[in-house]
Amino acid sequence: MKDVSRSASQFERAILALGETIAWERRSGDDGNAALGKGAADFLLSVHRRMPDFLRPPFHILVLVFDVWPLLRKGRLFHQLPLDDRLAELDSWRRSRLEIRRRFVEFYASLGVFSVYSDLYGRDYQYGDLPPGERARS
Amino acid sequence: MAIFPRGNGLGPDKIAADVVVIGSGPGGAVTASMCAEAGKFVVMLEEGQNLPLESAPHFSREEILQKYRNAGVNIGFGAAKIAYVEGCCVGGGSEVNRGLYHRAPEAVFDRWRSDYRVDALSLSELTPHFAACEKVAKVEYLPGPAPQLSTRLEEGAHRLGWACLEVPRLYAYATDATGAPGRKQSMSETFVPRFLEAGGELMPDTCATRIARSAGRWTVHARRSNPTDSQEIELTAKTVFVAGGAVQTPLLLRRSGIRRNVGDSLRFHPMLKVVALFADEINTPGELEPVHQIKEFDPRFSMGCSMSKRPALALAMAAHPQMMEAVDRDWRRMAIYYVQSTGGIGRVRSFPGFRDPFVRVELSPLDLKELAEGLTRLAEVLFAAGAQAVYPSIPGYPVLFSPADIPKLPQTLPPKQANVTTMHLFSSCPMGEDMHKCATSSFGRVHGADNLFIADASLLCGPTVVNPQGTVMAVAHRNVTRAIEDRAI
Repeated sequence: MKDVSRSASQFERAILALGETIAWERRSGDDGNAALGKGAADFLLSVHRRMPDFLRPPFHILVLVFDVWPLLRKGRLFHQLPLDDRLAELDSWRRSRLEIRRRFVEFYASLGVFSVYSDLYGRDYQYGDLPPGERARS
Repeated sequence: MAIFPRGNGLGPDKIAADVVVIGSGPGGAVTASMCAEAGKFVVMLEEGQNLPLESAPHFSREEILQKYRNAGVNIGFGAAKIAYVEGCCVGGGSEVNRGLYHRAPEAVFDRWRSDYRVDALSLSELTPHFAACEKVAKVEYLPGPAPQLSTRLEEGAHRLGWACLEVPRLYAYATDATGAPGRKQSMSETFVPRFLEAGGELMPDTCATRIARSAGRWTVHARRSNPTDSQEIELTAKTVFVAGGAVQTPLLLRRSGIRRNVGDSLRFHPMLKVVALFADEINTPGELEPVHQIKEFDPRFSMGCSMSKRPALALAMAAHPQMMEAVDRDWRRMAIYYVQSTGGIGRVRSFPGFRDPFVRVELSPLDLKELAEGLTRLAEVLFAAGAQAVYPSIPGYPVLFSPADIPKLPQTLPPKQANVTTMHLFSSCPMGEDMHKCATSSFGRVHGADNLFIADASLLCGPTVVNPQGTVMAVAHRNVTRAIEDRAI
């Protein structure tokens, strides 16, 4: 997967910020949070590159709109916001009256969380049991 | 036996064959192996990669990127949108599904025969074809007890007096003492190796873009690609079988100017999911796939249990982000269950300038009501099985904590909210002699086209009610047997 942290376009920076924020939201106390965020962002970018060609441009525009949205109120793009503001922004989209905003966050959050949990619990796919009673984070 | 290209690079750009099969899923692989075994020079094209079964775990992030078309992001547009998935790799859908296996019930074939005037399509006439396919791709029941998340469904059904059965899988379970899980009987493990052994040529990473007929032969225009390059190629053949699945097959035919009853009657099994929380641990990593299905309400809707690893649970719980902590805490007590119906209709269209098809779907008020009733029944059986909570995977839907909460579920599924998915698509080019409805003859030959056949789920005249792969394989086997007898290849 492509490294999005260097020489990235605004779209890629927005996706990276989105991935990091989703990962933080899920695993805020995790030491490996940065890697989880990058993994989620890489997955979101991979999905974007593979999605049907007529969906790609509208999703590209939606991501850019999402990135620009906080500019008026907070004077910064989403990917430039500190983490707490990003979390609040994500939450406001989730609770928006506009269906398209809610659906946008649902789509990216579900993919991002799937990626985070794939990184954390990939061994669930292996044959053989985990010790009984083991909790998700061990 | 050969897999193109044989060395580095993209190989030749013009190939002449007796038969070209477009698509290597259950319909294409069965057809191609039969043609190759009949002594023909057969080339089987596959748009996706040629990957071993174990290149990625089932329903993992890696599998979605490697083996799913468009990374699993496909949408049928309509008042209620439907997310659908298709395999895109050698073996097609058989590589990414769970391999649950049924022979479609007799009533399904009876209806297809009467509604579409399909000749010689009774269960008894298809039985030898089912049996022939089952000989190559083994169908087995679990050698031991089913996983608990599966037996819970059976227990709930038993308490309610509902019909429930253990479904066999296309799977060769290991019988040795190690208890290792054995191997799934996907096409890449069964019919594709058989095809190669019979001298067939497999051409992965090759997308057919158009077919045309001239001077008594078909030309398949295709694009071969590798990570660094791509090349336009042409294959010529006396006979072509199109087996790209219920969306890609009508797309290719329509792009090639073949439009009569093509892509107008897509059908599917729309599915809703829930996460159920139990009091005790039922979800053990490394368990085999769940295998029980409730058939009490067939053909209106059926219920079953899905693969429930933590990433899948997180995805299913995305409709309730505030409950995600519960997945972290209680995942061993959670499992995903589904209800799927047979309603809905769709169309497949191509637009100039776009590679991907535009799929339009429609769920009628009755279809939505039926799904809503199915969801209610699913909650009922899960509480009867001992569930402490049921989380519908539908944004805005309430979490249910007891049977008394079930009436809180809407009586019909609100189209905008509906989080409907499907893996089973069919009927976009139905077979039969009714020229007003059917794209092909009773044996898959495209009406008005010489030696052009369809060999996939597109041919089925309607929902199979049960998992369709067995029926797709048997119908493909039946049709190619007839084509060989008729010397059409």
